[in-house]
Amino acid sequence: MENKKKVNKKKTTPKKVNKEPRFEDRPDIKKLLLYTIIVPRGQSENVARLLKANKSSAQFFQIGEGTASSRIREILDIEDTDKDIIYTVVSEEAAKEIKKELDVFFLTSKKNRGIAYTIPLTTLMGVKMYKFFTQTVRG
Amino acid sequence: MADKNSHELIVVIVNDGHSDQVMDAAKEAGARGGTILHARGSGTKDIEKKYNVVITPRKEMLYILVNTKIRDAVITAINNKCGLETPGQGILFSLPVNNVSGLKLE
Repeated sequence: MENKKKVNKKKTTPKKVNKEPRFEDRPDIKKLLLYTIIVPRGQSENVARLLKANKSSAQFFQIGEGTASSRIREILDIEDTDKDIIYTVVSEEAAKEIKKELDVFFLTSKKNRGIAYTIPLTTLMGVKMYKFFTQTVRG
Repeated sequence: MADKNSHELIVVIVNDGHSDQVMDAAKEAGARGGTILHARGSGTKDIEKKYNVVITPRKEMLYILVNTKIRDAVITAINNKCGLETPGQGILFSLPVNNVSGLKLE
């Protein structure tokens, strides 16, 4: 009987409730965008330099071709239509700065003629990756 | 400066050699140009098993940036000329884009 009483007297410790919101629910989470820049072949290094100076953690390159006809090429004095496509993931704030600099970059020379746009991202795998792309933590 | 959602990116995936047809259709509907990427398909596992031969169909991907106003016309024109039912076997979709720069905007 004595043993039973002792067991009953044991206090059950309440489970600790984590009051901190989940990472993705925090209000300070920034929206991420896929920035795509298409420039003539050979200009990708200059674009990459511009991106690195504006909080872009990583740049991905791809090669492509333009679709301008030979007549348009003659008018615009363009020899070939090879293109470099550069992708980077950045926060909305960084994208604003990048856009400002790209607008200037595209106007500086005929060789720099290109287009750029952003596509909003909806899902990203892992907090670490988010921190890498937003430069909260250096990868 | 381009407004938010004023442009859309049309992505077209067609069999190799059909990109000219796609661009002709797009230009007829008002698009100005595009970018071609060379790619490979992956959906022939059954044939590979049956004939014991590895087949990697070559594809062409096209990125066409257009004003939202002409998006439907461009997509319809491409689908009529190079849709799934045609030899080009085209798959196409559009994505909303922001922060557009480099285009001469009307």
